[in-house]
Amino acid sequence: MKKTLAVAIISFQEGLRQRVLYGILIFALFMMSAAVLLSGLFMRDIAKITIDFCLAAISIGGLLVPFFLAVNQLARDIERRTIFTLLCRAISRRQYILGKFSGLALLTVTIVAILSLSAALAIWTSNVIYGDYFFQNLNIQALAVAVGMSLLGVLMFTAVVVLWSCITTSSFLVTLLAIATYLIGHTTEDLVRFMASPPPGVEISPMVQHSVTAALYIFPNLAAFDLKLAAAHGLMISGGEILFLLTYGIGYTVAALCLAIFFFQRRDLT
Amino acid sequence: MNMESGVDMVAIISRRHLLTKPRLLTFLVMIQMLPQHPLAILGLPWAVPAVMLVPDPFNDQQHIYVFHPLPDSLGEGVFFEADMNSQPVISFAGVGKAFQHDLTRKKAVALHNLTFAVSAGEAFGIIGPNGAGKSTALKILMGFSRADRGVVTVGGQGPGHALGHQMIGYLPENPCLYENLTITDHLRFAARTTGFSGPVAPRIKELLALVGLSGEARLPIRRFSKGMTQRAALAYALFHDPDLLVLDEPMSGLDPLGRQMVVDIIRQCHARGKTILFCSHILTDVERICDRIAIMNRGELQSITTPKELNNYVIAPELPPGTTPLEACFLEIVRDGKPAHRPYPAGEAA
Repeated sequence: MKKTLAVAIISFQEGLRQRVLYGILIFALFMMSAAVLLSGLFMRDIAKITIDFCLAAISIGGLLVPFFLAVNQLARDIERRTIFTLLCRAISRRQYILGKFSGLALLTVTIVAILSLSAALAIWTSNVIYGDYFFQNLNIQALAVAVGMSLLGVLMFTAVVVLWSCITTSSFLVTLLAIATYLIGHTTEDLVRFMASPPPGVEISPMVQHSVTAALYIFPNLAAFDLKLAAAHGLMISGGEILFLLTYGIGYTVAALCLAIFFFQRRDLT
Repeated sequence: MNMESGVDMVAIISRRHLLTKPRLLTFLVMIQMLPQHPLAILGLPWAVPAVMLVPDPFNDQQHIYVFHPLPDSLGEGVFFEADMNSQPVISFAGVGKAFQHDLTRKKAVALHNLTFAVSAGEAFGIIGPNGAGKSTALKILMGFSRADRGVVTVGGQGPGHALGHQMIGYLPENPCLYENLTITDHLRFAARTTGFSGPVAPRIKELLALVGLSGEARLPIRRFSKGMTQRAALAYALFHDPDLLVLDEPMSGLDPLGRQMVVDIIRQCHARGKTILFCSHILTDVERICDRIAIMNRGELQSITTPKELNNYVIAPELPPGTTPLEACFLEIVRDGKPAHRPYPAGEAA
């Protein structure tokens, strides 16, 4: 545990000092300022647009961790052989993977926390500028749940990127696989719904149906964690749904990490 | 096959010898009790190389045995007992490794039948041309890469074992530290992961002074030159005052001053009884530091010699004047496969 924590701390420190992180923060803050200014153009939906913008900024800011920092920290660790620096200590490969994931998770939580504070500031500023009338439907609880689920979705996605880093040998391939996973994770649920009730006259082959259903089960269903729309309308999802998402997210993350450890323990680091 | 000094060969065994030697029987009984031995349950312990710690049934002593099967023979091999006065800290027994190309599936042999042992307190150097398999051997020793065949032990443990790693300070070839972190961050990490019990700050200060980086304690590694990174990595390897130093090209990228500094540090460690295993291209440094020198070529151990033995080495007349005995020996091995003028090649007794 102590060694896993040590790897987590060094990964967190390394992530914090990477310039890409400051880029993420500047970009997200810019998006939130834009939210305050642009929402004024949509008089009837000021609250919705502000919240939508803020949640999108949080989501994008969080996603850049798996896309940039996770790839940078894991795949390039192996490519550049920085990994030897850690593994030459009495650190097992399992501790390395868990430590790296914990460091990235800590980084994601930090980024999401900073962005959430900025989002709260942006919503409060919009409220002050445009008045309470437009923010009658504001549901803080729904917003908090949306941010929490977005965080869980990012953590789950990070675990998958960790898995790809353990299987493949190049950081470029890991990035490609991460993009593919993200696209599949956001579209399969819609495809399954579409197949469940196809428009009249449209016939979908069983092969395609099975493939899409398999993809839904194999790849992380990232769309399920996107609660921006509900939060923007002040709608709260049910407790059962929250519990299901929590179980699914944590279960998938644990499974992905177990697989990552399994593959990484068998990998030759040459 | 090369047998190095420090290990006394006992016998060449075959199946017919087994019943006549009570010690061998003890060995074979013990080997059957080791669950990690892949062929123990099949009753074929002599088919694979092994290094074993066996209690003597007649007294309280323990014996270290190395068994190495002879190539292309079923059931025959070299069986020797390690010298108990100089227990091997590192042992390689019949280690083989081949790399397969991802697309063509073509195999390239990196190590073939590598067998040697390094005793406690010894400075053991491995030299060889590029692609000789030196770094591969060290990576297998550290558990980064797995041997296809053979047995490797470090401090009585398998490679990559936490207990074995606890005693090792490792300096990789072209060391890569985290470029956004400072050397102090790295040393703090070393303190957290090595179970270092003393005060950390004075130790960091001491090490930075040792490698001449006291002024760069707060500088990120990305601002370091190659030589500075090399020295920083050496400080990182030395943090927990390890009993065994595994150094892969420790002098590469260093200027003459830096090289001298690293040589002095290695010598100090050696003088304090630390075991040193290192590989290098710089033959003079190896000659200055090592008690024994192994010469590798194309994945095979060609010879193990000592600086004392090299004094008697007859340098071939066709070599340019000023060639040192080690250079001559190295050149002949690399060029011709075997040195032509060896007075008493290592392992001849075997």
